[in-house]
Amino acid sequence: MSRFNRKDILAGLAALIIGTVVCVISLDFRLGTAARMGPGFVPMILGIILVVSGVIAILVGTRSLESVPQLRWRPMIAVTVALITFALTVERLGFVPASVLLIFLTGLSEDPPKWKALLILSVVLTPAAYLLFIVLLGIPAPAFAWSL
Amino acid sequence: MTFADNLMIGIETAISLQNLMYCFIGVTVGMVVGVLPGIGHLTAISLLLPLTFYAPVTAGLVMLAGIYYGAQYGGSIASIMINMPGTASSAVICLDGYPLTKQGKAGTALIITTLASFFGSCFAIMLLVLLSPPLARAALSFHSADYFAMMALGLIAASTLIQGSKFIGVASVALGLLLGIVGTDVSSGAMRFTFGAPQLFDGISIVVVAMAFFGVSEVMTSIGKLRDYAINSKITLRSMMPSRTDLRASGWPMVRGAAVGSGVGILPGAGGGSMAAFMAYAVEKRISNTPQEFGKGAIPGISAPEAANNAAAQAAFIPTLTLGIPGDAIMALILGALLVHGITPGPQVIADSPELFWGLAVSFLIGNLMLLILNIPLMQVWVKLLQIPPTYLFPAITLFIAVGVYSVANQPFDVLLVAGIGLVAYVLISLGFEPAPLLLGYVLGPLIEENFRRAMLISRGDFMVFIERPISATFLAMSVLLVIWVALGARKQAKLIAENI
Repeated sequence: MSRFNRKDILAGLAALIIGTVVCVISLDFRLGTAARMGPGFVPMILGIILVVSGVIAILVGTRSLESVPQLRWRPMIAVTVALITFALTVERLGFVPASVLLIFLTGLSEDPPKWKALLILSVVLTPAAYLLFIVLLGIPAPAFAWSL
Repeated sequence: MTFADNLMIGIETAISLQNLMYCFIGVTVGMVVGVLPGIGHLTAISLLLPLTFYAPVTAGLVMLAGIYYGAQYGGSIASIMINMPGTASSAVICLDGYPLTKQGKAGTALIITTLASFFGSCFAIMLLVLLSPPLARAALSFHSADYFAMMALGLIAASTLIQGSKFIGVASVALGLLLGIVGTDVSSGAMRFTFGAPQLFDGISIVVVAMAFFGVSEVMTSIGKLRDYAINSKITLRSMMPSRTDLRASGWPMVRGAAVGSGVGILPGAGGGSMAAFMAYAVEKRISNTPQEFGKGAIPGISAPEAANNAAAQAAFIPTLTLGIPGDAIMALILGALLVHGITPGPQVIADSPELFWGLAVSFLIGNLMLLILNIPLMQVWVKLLQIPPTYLFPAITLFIAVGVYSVANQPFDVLLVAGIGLVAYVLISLGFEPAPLLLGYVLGPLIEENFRRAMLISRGDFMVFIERPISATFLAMSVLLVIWVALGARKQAKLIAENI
């Protein structure tokens, strides 16, 4: 197994990268003194904690043998696209089309997609969600709209 | 005010029609998600969090709490029937619950766990009512340095008492703290980590963070993975009648389980139910005269851990409501709901809003009674629920995420945010980052920074303040001891691994 395929090393690397970015951004803020801390003081400490814990995790991780579980690309893409589509369509096309699009796009996570179940879900769930959120809770979104 | 006065306030609050309704919704939803293996109570509470913003604060909390302890009841049903825990804290129930099902004693197992759940809950509710007021009074004298030290202990416990790499646990908490301080800095007005987006000036909503880490990433992990289950045993009321021997065998284990569970539940950062259930199981096995029976359908093996995880679920409210320190991710969500309603969690809550604390405590009792009634005659319905094909579950959850996040501020931007953070959350969790400590960090982030800065301001920049104050010094000493204890454990483990290779 490749050395760079180990779970703790990759996790440590992620912490190291995020921590470094946080430290760099924190430099833009005033750090202040220990008595009168500026807005950058605490983020800087947290960034350093991330970097240090990341480095240690990498060092310790070279001794562990656990490999990274396979990322599930299909659901990752399908669910993300489904949510983005909902965000972009809920006000322009309306709540109902946005919900149906979301249900079918999420369904693409499965291979092959279960079309019949998705159709049933769209028919049952969309009106139920509309009733709960729009009618009962009064969220101001149109059922249908056409303003691209 | 006397105890009786307070109790009256509690009863009046809890039996109002609105609170009864929210309690019923909460425990029913809790049962459903508890039974379904695909969805945990954390996901369910995250999904329903936006709904509580539309209700008065007490009603909202009554519902969220109902989901939590309701799920503890439901979780064991899946463990017993299909050998797959409905929630993490009922994983131990599989060990002896499923063997009982194979022996044709599923009904007995289900009734014993229901009774154990009820007993464990009531035990911990009594503790909650007795311990919280004096604890809150003691905590009123805490200074900012003490608060900082106490939260630090909670976060250190949360990051080190995990299964995987402790360093990644620390990184998870730090990342959560950072997510928590995104937005306007209270003392200077500076915009931190907003990247110029005005939607982030008020910070990232707790709904977005919770749904990203417990909703989106859950869907990506589990969609299409769960199969349909076959259920062979028929559950009738008659089969649920426990024999006298079974009842006697479950009695003392229930008491011990409830005690262990309450103890673990009170500790901040101990992770709640799962650890409590495992500890109770270990205790029973050790003191049993017939340890060889465990794993083959021993009654104490289901009654003790089941009483323990329910007791832990109720006891977890003690530090949350008295000190404002959440013990696990669910308590962090409850704390977040309080904050959204403008209530600063802490020792003043019990004195300032008695109807909240006492109403909640009485509603726990009512909710547990509802669960008892929901469980015994309706057990067949819950078992049927296991047969819903999981295909239907995940698109429904995704829709709930999208609409729920959108409903917080009617901002499509928030839905884009949950998609982005959710994707990152899925990758980080796959790498071993821990979502529960991260959420704890997120909720405590602004509070811990504020107390840290205030303590340092008062001490004029002298870090010794944390050691000079006895309360703060005690908490820090406990943190150090905890780290040493975990480090020693890790070394022992490393040695074991080295010897086995």
